[in-house]
Amino acid sequence: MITIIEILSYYNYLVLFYLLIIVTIYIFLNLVSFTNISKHSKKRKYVELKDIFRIHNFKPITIIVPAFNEEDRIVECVQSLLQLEYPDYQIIVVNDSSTDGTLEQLFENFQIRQASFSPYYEIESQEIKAVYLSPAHPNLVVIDKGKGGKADSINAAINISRNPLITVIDVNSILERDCLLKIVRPFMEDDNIVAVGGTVRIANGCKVKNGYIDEVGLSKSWLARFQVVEYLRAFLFGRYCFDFLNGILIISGAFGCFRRDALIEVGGFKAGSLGEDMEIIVRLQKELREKDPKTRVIFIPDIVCWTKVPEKIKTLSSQRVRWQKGAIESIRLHKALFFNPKYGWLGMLVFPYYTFFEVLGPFIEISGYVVFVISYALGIVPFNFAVAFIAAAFLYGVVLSTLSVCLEELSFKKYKKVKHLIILMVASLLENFGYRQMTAFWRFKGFIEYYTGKRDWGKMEKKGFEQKNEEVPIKKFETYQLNIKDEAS
Amino acid sequence: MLEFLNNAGHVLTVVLILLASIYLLILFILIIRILEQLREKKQRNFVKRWEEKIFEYLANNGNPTAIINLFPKSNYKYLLQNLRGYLQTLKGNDWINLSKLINETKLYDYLLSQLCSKSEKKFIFGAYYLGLAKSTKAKFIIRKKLKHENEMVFLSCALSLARMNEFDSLDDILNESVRFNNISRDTLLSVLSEYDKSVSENLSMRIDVEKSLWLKSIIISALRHFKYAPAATLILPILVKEESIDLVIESIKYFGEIEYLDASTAVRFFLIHSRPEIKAEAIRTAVKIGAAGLENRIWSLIYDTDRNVKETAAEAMYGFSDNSKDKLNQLAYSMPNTIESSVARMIISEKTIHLN
Repeated sequence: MITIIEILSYYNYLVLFYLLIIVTIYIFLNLVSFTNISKHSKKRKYVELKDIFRIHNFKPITIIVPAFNEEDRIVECVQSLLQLEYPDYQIIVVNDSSTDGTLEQLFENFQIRQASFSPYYEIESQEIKAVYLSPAHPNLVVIDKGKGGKADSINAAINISRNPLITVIDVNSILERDCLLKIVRPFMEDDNIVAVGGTVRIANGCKVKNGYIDEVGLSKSWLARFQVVEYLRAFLFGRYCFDFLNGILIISGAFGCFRRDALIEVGGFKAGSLGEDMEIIVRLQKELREKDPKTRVIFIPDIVCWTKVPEKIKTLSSQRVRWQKGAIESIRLHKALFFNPKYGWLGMLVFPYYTFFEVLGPFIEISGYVVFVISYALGIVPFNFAVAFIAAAFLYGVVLSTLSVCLEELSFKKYKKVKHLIILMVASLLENFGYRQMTAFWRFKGFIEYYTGKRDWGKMEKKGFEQKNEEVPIKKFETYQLNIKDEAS
Repeated sequence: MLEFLNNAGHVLTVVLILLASIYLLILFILIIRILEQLREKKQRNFVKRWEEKIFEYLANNGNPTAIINLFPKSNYKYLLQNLRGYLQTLKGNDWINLSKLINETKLYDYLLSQLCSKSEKKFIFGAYYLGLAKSTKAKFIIRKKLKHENEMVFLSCALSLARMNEFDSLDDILNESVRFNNISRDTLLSVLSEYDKSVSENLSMRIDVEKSLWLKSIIISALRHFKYAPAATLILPILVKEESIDLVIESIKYFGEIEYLDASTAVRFFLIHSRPEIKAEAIRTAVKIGAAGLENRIWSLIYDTDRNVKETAAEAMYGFSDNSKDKLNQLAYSMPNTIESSVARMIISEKTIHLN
C-alpha cells in the first residue's frame, strides 16, 4: 500500500520534472523565436513603410479606445493618437458611462459636438446614447453609451465604425508613431489574416513627450522592473514561436488589430468576459478556421505599444488574478479545441500546452513548493534532491530570464543605457527569487476564485503618464490630407 | 533519473553548469553592448564628418571622387546608410549629384563587389543601393538573379530594376513573381509603382496576353496608380468578361480613377451584381464618371441587405444633387427608425459636422 510519505516523495519528483520541462520548453521557444525575429527583421530592413502614402493602396483603420473613468488620461491618449502616421484612420473613444469627467475633458479639449448619428447594431452592445464628432478633428468620434464593460464598448464602436480594420487599445497605452503603418502590412500581404498582435512594452520610467515615448527608461520600482523582464520573455520570445505554428491564443488587450468583418462574423467581443482579449482570439481561431483552415492570427514583434503596469503589489495581484480567471474562462469555453486535430498545431499542441502549463501550472507550482518544504522538514526528501529542486525552481529560471534579456539585446536594443541593461540583468536574476513565486500564487488564487464562483474583475489603479509637453499643434486632418497629396504627387 | 538525483556529484555539476551559463550569458550581453556602443560612437562621429562634407559638395557641385576618397572603405556601409534617406527624398540636381557619389566613384565598385558576393545578405544590400542610385550599369547582374529561389533576393532585384526604370525586365519580374507564395499583390504593386509612369504602355501590352488573373488584376491596379487612360479600351472587355471578383473590382476602380465615360453602361450593370463588394465599388465609380439617370437605381441600393452597399449608396446620394440630398434628409429624419434611416443620419452627420 502506498503511504503518504511515498505520495509526497513522488509528488516532489513530479513537480521537479514539471519545472524542468516548462523551463526547457521556454528556452526552446526563445531560441526558435529568435531565429524568426532575425528573419523578420531582415525582411523588413528594406521595406519602405511610407510607400502606403505613395501608392494609395492602404486599408482605412479604426482605433477603438474604450474608456471608463479616464478623465486623467483620456486627453493625452487622444492627442497622441491624433499624431499617428497613417493616411486614413479614425479614432473612436467609447465613454462607457463614466462617472467622472471623461466626457467633459473630451468636450473641453477637442470641441466635440453631438451628431445625429443613429447607428444600427450589427453586433449586440448596450445602447449608444450619443455620438459626438469634432469639427477640428474629423477623424475623431466619441461615443457615449450605457455601461457594459470593455468588451461591450468595443462592440459598440464596431457598430459605428466603417473601416475594414479595427485596432483596440487601452487608454494607458502609447503607440509608436509608425505603428499603424506596420500593423496594416500583414493584412495587405495576406487575405487570410484576421488579427495581428504586437509587442507590449512597459512604459514605467520612460520619458513621455507630446504623447510619445521620448526616451526609453526603467522605473525605480523593482516590481515594474521584474515585469519588464517578464514581458520580454512572454512577448518577444514566447508568442513568436506560437505564431510560427499558427497557434496564437492571445493578443494583448492593450493593443491588437482585427479585420472588422471577421469580428462581426463571430459576433464581436464577449461582453462581461473576464479576459475578452484571449477569448476573442480563441473564438476567431475556432470559428473561422472551421470555415477556412487557412485563417491566421499572427504576431509581429516590431509593432510596439507601450503601457503602464502596476507598481503596487495589491494592484498587480488583482490584475494577475483577473488574467488567470480570463484564461481559465477562455479555455473552458473553447475546450472543443483540446487535442482536436481539426485545428492543426493549435489544437494538438498549443491549446494543451496552454492548459497544462499556463492554466494548471500555478496550481502545480504552488502546491509543489508547499509539499517540498513539508517533505524537506520531515526528512522525506534527501539533501541532493533539495539542491536539485532549488536549482530547477530558481537557477534554471534565471538562465531563462537572462536569455530573454540577452535576446532583446541581440534583436531590438530598446534600452540604450548600460545602466538600464545592468538593472535588467539584475532583475532577471532577482525575479526568480520571490516575484515569480508571487505571480504563481496570484494565478493560483485566480484559479481558486474562479472555481469558487468569485468571477468579478476586481479593482485596478489608474495612473497617467508624467509627460513633458511642448507647444506642438495637433496635426489637423486637412493639413494631413494635403501632406498625403504632396507625397503622392 | 532518480539515481542521477541521488548522486551529490551529479547534482552539483548541474548546479555549476547552470551558474556558468548565467555568468556566460551576462558576459555575452555586456560584450554585445560594448561592441554596439563602439559601433554607434563610430557612426555618430562619421555622420558628423560626413554631413558637413556632403552639404559642401551639394552646395558647390563638388567632385564626387574627391569626396568619396576622403572615406576609408570600412566606412562605406555607414556612408551608404546615411545616403539612403537623402536619395529617397531629394529631387532634381541634388539627387543627380548624390547619385554621382555612387555611380562615378569607388562606391560603385564596392557595391558591385557586394552584388558578386556569394552572401545573399550582401547581394540584397548591393542591389538596394544600386537601385536607389539608378545605376543601370549593374542591371545585367541584378536581372540574372531574378530567377533566384530566395524571395528576398528576388524582391530586391525587382525593386532595384524598377527603380532603374528597366522596362526590359518587367516581364521577368511579373513572370517570376508567381513562384513565391508569400509575395502579395500589394508587394508586387509596390514594386511596379517604383517604375516611372512611362512603364504603363508596356504594362498595358501585357493585359491581353496575360493568363494569370492574379497578375492581370495587379497590372490593372498599377495602371490605375499611373492613371493611364489609353488602356481603357483593353480593360473594358475584361470587365465585361467577369473572370474573377478581383479583376472586376480592379477594373471598376480603374474606370473610376480615369473617369472613363464609355464604361458607364458596363458599370451600371454591376450595380445589380450579386456581390456586395462589387456593387459598392460600382456605386463609387458611377458617381465619379457621371451617374446621370442612375439616381433612382443608387437610391434603391440604400435598401440593399449589405451595410457597406447601403452606406456607399447613401454617401453617393448625398453628393449627387440638392434634390437627392433632400431625399436623403427626408429618409433620415422623417421616416420611422429603420436601418436605412440610421445609415442616412450617419452619413449626413459625417458630412455636415464641419458646417454646424
